[in-house]
Amino acid sequence: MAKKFVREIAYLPLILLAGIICFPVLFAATGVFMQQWELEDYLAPVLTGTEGMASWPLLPHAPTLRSLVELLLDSPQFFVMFWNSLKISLCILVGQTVFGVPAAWGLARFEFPGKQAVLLLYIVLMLMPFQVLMLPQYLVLDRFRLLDTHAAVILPAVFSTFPVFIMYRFFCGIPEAILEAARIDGAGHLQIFFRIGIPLGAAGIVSSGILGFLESWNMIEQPMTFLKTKSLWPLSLFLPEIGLAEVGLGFAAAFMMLVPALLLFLSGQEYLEQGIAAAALKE
Amino acid sequence: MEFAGVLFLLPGFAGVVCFTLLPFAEVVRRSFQSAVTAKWVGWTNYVTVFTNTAFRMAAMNTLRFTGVCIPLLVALSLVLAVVLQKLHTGKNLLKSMLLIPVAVPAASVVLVWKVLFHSNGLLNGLLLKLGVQKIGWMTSGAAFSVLVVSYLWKNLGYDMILWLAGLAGIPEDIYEAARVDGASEWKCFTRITIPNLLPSLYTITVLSFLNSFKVFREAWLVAGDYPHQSMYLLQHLYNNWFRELSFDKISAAAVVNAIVVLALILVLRRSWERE
Amino acid sequence: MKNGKLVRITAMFFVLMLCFTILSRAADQLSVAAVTTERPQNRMIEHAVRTSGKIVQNQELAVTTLPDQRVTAIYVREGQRVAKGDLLFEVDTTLLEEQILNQEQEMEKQELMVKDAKSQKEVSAAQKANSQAQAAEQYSLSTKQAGVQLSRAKQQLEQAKKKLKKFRKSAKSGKSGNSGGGEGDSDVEEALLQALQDKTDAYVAAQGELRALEWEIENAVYTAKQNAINGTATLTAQGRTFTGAADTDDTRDTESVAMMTKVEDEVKNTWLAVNEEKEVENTCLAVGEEEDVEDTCLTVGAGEAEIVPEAIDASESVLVDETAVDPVSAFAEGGSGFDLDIEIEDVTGQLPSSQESGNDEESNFGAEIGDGSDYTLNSDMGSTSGSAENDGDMIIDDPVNQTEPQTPKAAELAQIEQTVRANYSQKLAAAQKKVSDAQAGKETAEAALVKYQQAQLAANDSLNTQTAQQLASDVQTAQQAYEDAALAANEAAVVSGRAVAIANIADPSNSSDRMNEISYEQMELTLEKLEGLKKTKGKVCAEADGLITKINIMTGEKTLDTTALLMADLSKGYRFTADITKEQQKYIGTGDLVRLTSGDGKQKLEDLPVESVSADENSEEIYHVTVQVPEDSFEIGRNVNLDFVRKSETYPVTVPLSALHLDEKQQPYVLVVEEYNSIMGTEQRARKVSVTVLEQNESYAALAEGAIGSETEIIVQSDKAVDNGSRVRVG
Repeated sequence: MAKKFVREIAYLPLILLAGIICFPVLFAATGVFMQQWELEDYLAPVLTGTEGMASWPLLPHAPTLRSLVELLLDSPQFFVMFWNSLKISLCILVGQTVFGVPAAWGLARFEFPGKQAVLLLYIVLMLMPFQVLMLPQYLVLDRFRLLDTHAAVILPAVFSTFPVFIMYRFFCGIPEAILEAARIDGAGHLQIFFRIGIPLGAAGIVSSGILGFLESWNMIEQPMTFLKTKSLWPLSLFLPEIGLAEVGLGFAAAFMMLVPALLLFLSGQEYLEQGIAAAALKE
Repeated sequence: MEFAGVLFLLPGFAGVVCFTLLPFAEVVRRSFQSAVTAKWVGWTNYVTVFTNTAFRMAAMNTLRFTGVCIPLLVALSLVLAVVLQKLHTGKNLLKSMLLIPVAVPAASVVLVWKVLFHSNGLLNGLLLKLGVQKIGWMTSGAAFSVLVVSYLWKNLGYDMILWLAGLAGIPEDIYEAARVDGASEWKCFTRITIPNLLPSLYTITVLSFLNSFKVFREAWLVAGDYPHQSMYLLQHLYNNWFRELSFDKISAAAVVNAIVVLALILVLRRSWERE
Repeated sequence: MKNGKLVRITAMFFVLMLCFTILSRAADQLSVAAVTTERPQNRMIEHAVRTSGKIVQNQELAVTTLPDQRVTAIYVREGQRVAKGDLLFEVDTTLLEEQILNQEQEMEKQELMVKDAKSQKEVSAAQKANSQAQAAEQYSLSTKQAGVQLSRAKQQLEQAKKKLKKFRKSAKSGKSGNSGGGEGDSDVEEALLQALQDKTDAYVAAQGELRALEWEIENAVYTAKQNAINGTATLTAQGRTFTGAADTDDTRDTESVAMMTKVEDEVKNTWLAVNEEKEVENTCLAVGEEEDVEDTCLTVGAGEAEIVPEAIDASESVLVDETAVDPVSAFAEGGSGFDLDIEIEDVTGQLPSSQESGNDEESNFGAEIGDGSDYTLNSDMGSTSGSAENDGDMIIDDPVNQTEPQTPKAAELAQIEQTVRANYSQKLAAAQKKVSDAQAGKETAEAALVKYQQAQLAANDSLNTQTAQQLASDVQTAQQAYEDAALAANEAAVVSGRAVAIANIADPSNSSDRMNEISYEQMELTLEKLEGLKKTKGKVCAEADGLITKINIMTGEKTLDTTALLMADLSKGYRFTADITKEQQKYIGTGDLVRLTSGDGKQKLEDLPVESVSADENSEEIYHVTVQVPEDSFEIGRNVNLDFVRKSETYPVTVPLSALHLDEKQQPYVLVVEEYNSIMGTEQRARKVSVTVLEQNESYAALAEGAIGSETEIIVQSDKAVDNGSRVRVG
């Protein structure tokens, strides 16, 4: 009985924590349904530095879709950014899959000299903050005259090592017996990879894809460094551009950016968890 | 066999070499050259970097941040994972809620951060209501705690999932046996859970470390290129150097940074392998 | 399955986003203005000056004839071309002859009139001379008589005195030694007598002065009144200032006053001369000498000093009277330091002329006084003329009333009289005092003499005393008789002098005879003209080749004083004249070669130089342009169009006028298309570029180089209002 009570007591801080963690999202969502004047009313001390403290209601006083409509119908710029973001993210996703899956398979399922070194290299590169790799990437993109194109953002991300690491973990989890059986059946390396590796590692691939997508959807430093033309910018750069004077529009745009990520997260949460968990599994 | 593995690896690896390794080698070379004239200057750039107060400050901040955040995050998420694992109902919902920040783009919540941590913002409003003095969140040493909070917010769910995976890997019968032996919950936790989770610790630490660099986004979006010095990280410094085209300094610093990361990984791996 | 639903929602989301993308772009495009652009051109700016005008003659001739002639026939009509010598019209010769006859008779009458007037004039001149002579005669006679009586009285006095002396001598000799102071006694008596004599003279002189002054006052009052009546009329009617009023005074009036003043002076001279001559004989002589009245005034040497002040008084009074409103009178009245006596010396030299020309009086007077006393009367008059009304209100009540002439009322006249009298009152009082003083002195002297004589008598024996007393009384009687005679002489002189003055008043000028002559001459001229017309048998011909432009006469009607016919002188050529606007005037000037086209377009003349471009007298907006047209090209009166194109230099940057806009500060600008990178990619927008317009016509404007290059795309047309920064689409 006592145990049960403790368990029930434990809900309270958990729920509180979950609430706190979700607060920014709720905050942003509430803002979408407010008009500019209402937002200015609540946030005046922050926006214009007037006396008093900003406040925030749980529900909008005068709920409206005006900001959203304005964003969706009167701001073609937003859509340019939106599709830029989507294009970059999808390209990265595809590239990571095309190059990352075989690499992870090769690392996970084959033994060759220097494999450990490569793995270490991958881990080290994975851990390198972007700013450390910024200059090398800049140099090579400059060499290939790819600066100020979407490729400048896409290509380095395609060869990012983090998804390889995630998928490597997944592929390691495939029992050797299955592969052995296939090999005995006379299946070639490619056959085994496509027939057994990919289906069995699908969860890993999807989870790494989701993580990759979220990462690239959220990407700020890379486009900021490599893209000068505004028409190429992704949404993540557009949002900080929206001044506080258009805070209503800012909320709507932030919301619209949040929506695909949340949808993807919700629909792929299972795989995502698996993917994250896979990393924690012992080699 | 070996050849086939290499072939699978090759396309991806070629890209890595092409887009990361070779240019990094170039950066290593450049770290020994002057920026403009490309003259061989030996260790001068390294000396410059190490004597640079901004670099020292940023490096100290970064170290302090990782030193504070990673243990905190790892511990907190472990507690959370253990508590959550014990729950029967609402487990999935709570998991989802805690995991949401992973999906939330930094750019989407910049406004929220600004409103929260402004000196006239919501957080200070709450403090005033509680009768506490206002805190200049972005303008004082408290900026560091803002950095910590946003890091924890973002990665708590992620690390919790990692821990849960680790916890799931511990066979339930070990616990059963212990309980039969009359071991308490605490004893079970310290004697069974912790040792079994140690292999996961390495990966979790590494991933936390990886994610610790990403806190820069929030910091940069909220506070710009030159935030309060308590949250001035190496990323800020590199970013600013890059903008100033101080390629000599950034090269040397990048090399140093890479070496440090490599060393850290090796140390972690060694300690993990020893287990 | 839950996941499948979420994937579907995700897909839906992206489809929706795609739809919104398209919608927002469509909405966005609606707000973008479609524009057409042009590059600046290298071209000239042409200014076309186009106007229509008429062909007119260079010179117009007026054909005139004598007025009041009956037109019998007109041989031309308006617009007809005539050659030199062509018959234009005819007048009735019968009427003409009648008029000539009339004229001749009129002239005869006039001639007779002139003769009559001449004889009349002669007669009146003779009469006047006669009366003058009479007056002069009367004057000299009365003065002479008075002088004779005076001298007789004097003689008797002398005789009486001699007798008394003689008697005394004998008495003295009879008792010589009896009294040692006998000689001295007679001396004393003589001295006393002498004193008495002097006093008497002085008394007489004072009396005369007083009389003269009284007369002068009367004179002044009369003149003042007269002038008030005339002068006010003149002054008020003309609203002139003081000087003007004085100038417009009736000359005759002034002259007569001057004349009277002169006569008065003469009388005084005479009279003073009488006083001056202590010896009676001399007086007689003097009186006799001064028969020539005219000269006396100027030739009485010693008397001049005394005359002058009087003359000034007189002229002053004239001045005062004439103007009446004059500030000078205010001066005199107010006694504001303007002491005339002080100025005497300065004015002396000026006097004759001031007397002679009454018109100049004021100015001279003023000038002289100004010289002498640092007091510029004229200027002061000018400055006080405004306030002069205060003093002159006896005449001019109000400047407003000046528009209608006013005759001063009786009260006003009385006031004037009072003023004038007041002016003299001091002098009069002084004169009276002098007279009474002199009388007192005389009486004292008499008393002293009598006393002395009585004392003497008392000292002498009774017999002697009786005789002496008798003698003394004789002397006294004689003395009195002498005094009376002297006074009578004075009076006679004054009265007869006045008669002379009146006789001397000039006749009103009469120029009727000259006028008659003039009208005679005019008649002569008219006659000549009539005869001239008769000579041509009443026919009037063209004096030059020309075109009849206007006929003012009608057959059967009488000619008027105006021009009978107007004709264009064709021998002097034609010209084209038209009005142009001020704007057009900028682009056409003398010497520019223009094209003239007839209204129907059939006739065309190229490269005719502009003769003149001149501004209209009345309107600033209209200018007249004239072009000499060769003979026989266009007919007079034709409507003709003028065309001229002024070409500017070649400008490297010219834009269509539709591209030029004016901002709120009226500064010209153009909108150029510029590309810029936006989030939407490369877009085009309008950018405002301020320009300087060098020249422009109806369709193009030349801009200063610099602001716009030759490659710049300039917006010349747009389907929406375009502003600086507006997004545009070049289509």
